[in-house]
Amino acid sequence: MTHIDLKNKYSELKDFLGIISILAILSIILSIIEPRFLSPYNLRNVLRLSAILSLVAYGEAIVIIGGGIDLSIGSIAAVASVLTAMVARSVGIVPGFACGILTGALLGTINGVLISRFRLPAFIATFGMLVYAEGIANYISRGAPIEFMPEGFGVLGSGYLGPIPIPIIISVIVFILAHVMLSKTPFGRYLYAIGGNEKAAWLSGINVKRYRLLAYTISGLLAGLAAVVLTSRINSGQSNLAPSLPFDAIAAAAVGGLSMRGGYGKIYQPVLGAMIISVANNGLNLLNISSYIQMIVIGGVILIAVSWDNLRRNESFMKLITKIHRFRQSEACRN
Amino acid sequence: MNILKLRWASLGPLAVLLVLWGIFSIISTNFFTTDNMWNISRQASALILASFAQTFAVINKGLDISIGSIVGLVSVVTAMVSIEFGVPEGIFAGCLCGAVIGATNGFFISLFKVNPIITTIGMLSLARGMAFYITDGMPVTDMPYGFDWIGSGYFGSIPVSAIIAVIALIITMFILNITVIGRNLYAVGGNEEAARLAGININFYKMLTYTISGLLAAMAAIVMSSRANSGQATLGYGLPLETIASVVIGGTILFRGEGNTARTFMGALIITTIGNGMDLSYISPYIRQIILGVIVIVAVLVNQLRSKK
Amino acid sequence: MRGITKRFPGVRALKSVDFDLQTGEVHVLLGENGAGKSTLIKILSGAYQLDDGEIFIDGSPVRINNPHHASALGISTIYQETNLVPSLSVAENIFLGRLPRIPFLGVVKNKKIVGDSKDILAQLGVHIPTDALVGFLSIAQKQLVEIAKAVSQKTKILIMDEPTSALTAHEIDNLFRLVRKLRANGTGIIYISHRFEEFNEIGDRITVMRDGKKIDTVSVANTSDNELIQMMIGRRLDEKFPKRAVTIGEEVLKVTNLSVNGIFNKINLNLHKGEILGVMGVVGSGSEAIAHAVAGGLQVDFGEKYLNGVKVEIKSPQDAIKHHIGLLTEDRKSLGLMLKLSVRENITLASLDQINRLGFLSLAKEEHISNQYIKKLNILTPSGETITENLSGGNQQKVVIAKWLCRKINILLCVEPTRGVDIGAKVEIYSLLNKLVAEGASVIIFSSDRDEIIGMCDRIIVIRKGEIVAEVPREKFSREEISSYAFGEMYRKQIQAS
Repeated sequence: MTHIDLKNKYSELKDFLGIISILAILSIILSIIEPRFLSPYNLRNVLRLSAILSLVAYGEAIVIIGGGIDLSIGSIAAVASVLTAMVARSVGIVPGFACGILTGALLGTINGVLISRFRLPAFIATFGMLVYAEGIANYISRGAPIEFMPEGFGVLGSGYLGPIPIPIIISVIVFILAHVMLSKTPFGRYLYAIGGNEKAAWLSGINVKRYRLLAYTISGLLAGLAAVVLTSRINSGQSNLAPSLPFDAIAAAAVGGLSMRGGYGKIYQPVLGAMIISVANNGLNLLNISSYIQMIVIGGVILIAVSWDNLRRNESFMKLITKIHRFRQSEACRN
Repeated sequence: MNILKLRWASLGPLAVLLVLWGIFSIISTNFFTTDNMWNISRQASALILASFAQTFAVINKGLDISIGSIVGLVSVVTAMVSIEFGVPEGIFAGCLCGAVIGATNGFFISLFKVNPIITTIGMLSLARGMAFYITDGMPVTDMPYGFDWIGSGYFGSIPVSAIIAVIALIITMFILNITVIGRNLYAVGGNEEAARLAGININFYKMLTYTISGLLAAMAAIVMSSRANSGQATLGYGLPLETIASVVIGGTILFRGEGNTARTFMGALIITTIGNGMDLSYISPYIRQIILGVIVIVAVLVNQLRSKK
Repeated sequence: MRGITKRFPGVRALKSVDFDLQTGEVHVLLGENGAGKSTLIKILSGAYQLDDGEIFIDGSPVRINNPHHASALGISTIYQETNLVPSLSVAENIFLGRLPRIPFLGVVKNKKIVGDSKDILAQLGVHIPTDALVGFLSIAQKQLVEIAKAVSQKTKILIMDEPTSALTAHEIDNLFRLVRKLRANGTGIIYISHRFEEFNEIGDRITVMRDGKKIDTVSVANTSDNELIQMMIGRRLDEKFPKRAVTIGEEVLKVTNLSVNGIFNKINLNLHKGEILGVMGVVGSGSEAIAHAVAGGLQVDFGEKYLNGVKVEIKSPQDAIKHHIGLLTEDRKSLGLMLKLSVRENITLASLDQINRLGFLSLAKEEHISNQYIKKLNILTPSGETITENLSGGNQQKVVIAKWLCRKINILLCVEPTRGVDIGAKVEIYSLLNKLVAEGASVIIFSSDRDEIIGMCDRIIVIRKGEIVAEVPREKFSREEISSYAFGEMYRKQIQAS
């Protein structure tokens, strides 16, 4: 490998270390301010929540790498949650879980069909889905949470396999699958190609329609899965399960360093991003800061994270930074 | 003849509007009464103003998803300042707030070159959060006298809000079609590189676009709050979708650097008519939401197909 | 008359280049890709900053800080990608950024810009309505509007970068007429082109550049094409088109009645094994569209396709690939390559379903295969992992060819295969095509480059305005005849007149 390629690998490593250090610094600061953060109970909680968030973050990342965006995962999760609860109550727990996941996949496929076959802009299609899926969830549940779940329903969300909470295990499995899919299968390569240059991918014989559809189906499926786990955890089906889910997912992807433009990205990025967001949310909770502030923070985080990503790629800005850096260094040397 | 096509309203939406009126008046006898017509115009005013805000973003080849949240925040700010200082001061504060948020959007979009959709998504969360935080989730009531004049008052027999909407239409059409600023806005939206090379200050116009958008959203918020005679942080939830629907149904194709407020005006009227008609037919609000979502999708689809030819 | 002088010694990608332009001359800038022509003019137009050296305009030294500054100094540039706003009218584009206004309200003086634009367009002899939206104009018309824009800014120095690559012959005539008028008016024009017949027709002097250095400045009249080529690449090139032995077998591809409304009509052609068929058509004649249609990238309204005598349905690029047909597009950067991916990833892109082990990609296999092709096609790249963006135009084109070779296609449709490729790489690509057919494949070259078609093909079909106007076998090739078929009556008359 030549020096140019080494430079690429080196910068990838730098990015990875950068994100991990943000996570580390955040955790350290938090544990100093609020020692409760480090309690085993709390840590397990954080990990559990970040596992759930990372599920949707994977889905979002897959879609973004393929050049699209999915705003509907919050509403898809809502519908899945409601249906899961209803089916679990009337038919059985396992059918309930299956139903939730399938619902997610189905709604995701609808998105995919509108976007790939009908050429609807991704933003419009998923935004539309966000609106009417929410309507559907509300309609089915008549606006009220669905309670009185059968025994054992909460195992998935709150249970353990040995010392490890089940959601984490699920998340790890999905992570491995996603990583393999993106880096080791033709599908993954095609996604990067479609995200990078759709027309050229099409002309090279890649079935853009099919793979795009698949990306959205996966995203919907993962949203359904996340909904199932979350519903299990709170032991009731709700139509406003996680209203900030799409924002959290996008924020997780952005913070993790995923490029919003598509065609780039590694699967560890949304994971680390999800962890950072979960830690931040958890911190705000522990410090008793209102959940409204959380909304403000998430919004701010998205803005800053994406700005930083853009600025990094902007040559003149980086030149400015290096100039300042060198100037400071020379100042330090002089003294 | 070509300019006519792009800069002024087209007849299609007008036809659609008339057809809709026909359908609804058959379905419900209450529809075509004077009362209901004024009702529609009052309901439409806020949407019209908010959709004008969206139009500016669309001309800039982007979308403003934060319009709903700006409305919520401005509603709350206006209400609170009105209680403290008086209604005119409240209105001023509200407009200022909207403009500032819009300018912040513009800041990220122009200087940091963030994708407008992602920027406004972030701002959506941020502004909504601020609105909730300031009021702790509670509506702001006990408004001073006169607060509700804009939203529910009349000037003679014409609702004040309708007048405001029409004035906004005239002013925005003037700016967009006749002034240099308008031409430059179209230039920056149509071909940013060409505009840059021609010496047009891209960052300035991007900031201007989103500041105007924030300002118009603020005006919509004031109308809506006045109508409800309170300030609510939850206001404007469905606006992002509804405003995009208005723009698209009016005939504008997205992400092309085109658009104008006359067309959006028609589109907003159509959307309001549909909503009003559904209300009169006692359709559940959830179903209404679903239908609206579907309408937007269909409208964009139709537009796409048209633009291929 | 020494009117305008510019000198740039010592810039990084340009090593001590001297250049001067007189008033009222067309000065051609010639060189292979990467020779430094674009860098030079970008410095002049304010897009780049020079590191060392000076620029003088009308004898006084200047510093050009940015494009806006450049146009204030009277320098205008016309690139291939037009810098016009599609949603604004012609008049508004001409006065973009300089719209005259009524003070206080900022209202545009519409009558004034329409009137002034009409004047300028009339001066130039251009017939485009001033209220037409630029988005609806053809490329040629857009260029004319750009020239009008330059003229309205009182341009003294006009830079034209490959202006004719997307124009029909008639439009080129129009353009040249305009250029001559501007020259007569005293404007100095810097003209960049690869087309020898063009600057022989319109140029006064030529400066040849190579590897960032100026080689020489000569007058057009006194220099032969071969001398110019020698200056450009530093060696003689007698054989621009490598010769080959020809064994043509049976028919492998036939299309009948192919039509796409508004673009081309009732196209019948057939291709034999081992044959290179040439489809000659100027830009806009529909030849490119035919290529896309045959390869499934463009939907046809009528027509059938037959492979080896059997009727087939090819409705998408995937169908085409399944039938071993590959398309080399005219625009490799936006249609043929993933610029941000590595060479290896690009080469294997169309063949991933074959280069896998149990459904998983095998890096070792990919590297092995791509290295094979890098060697076979002599692709100059530091390694297979290099990002494709960093390669030169000719090598990028080779990567695209490698992609199709990797897929083992039998029929390769090339559209403008050597556009934007320097002469050295051109010869390599021609040899590659020859090798391909020698191994039993078949090639169709769709091109507007008459010499290329005549030099490489066994049979030529000429397309004009979407219809086949002639089919000529190799023995009967003649430049004039083919050109007259391609360009039509007017050209014929021109030849007869001269």
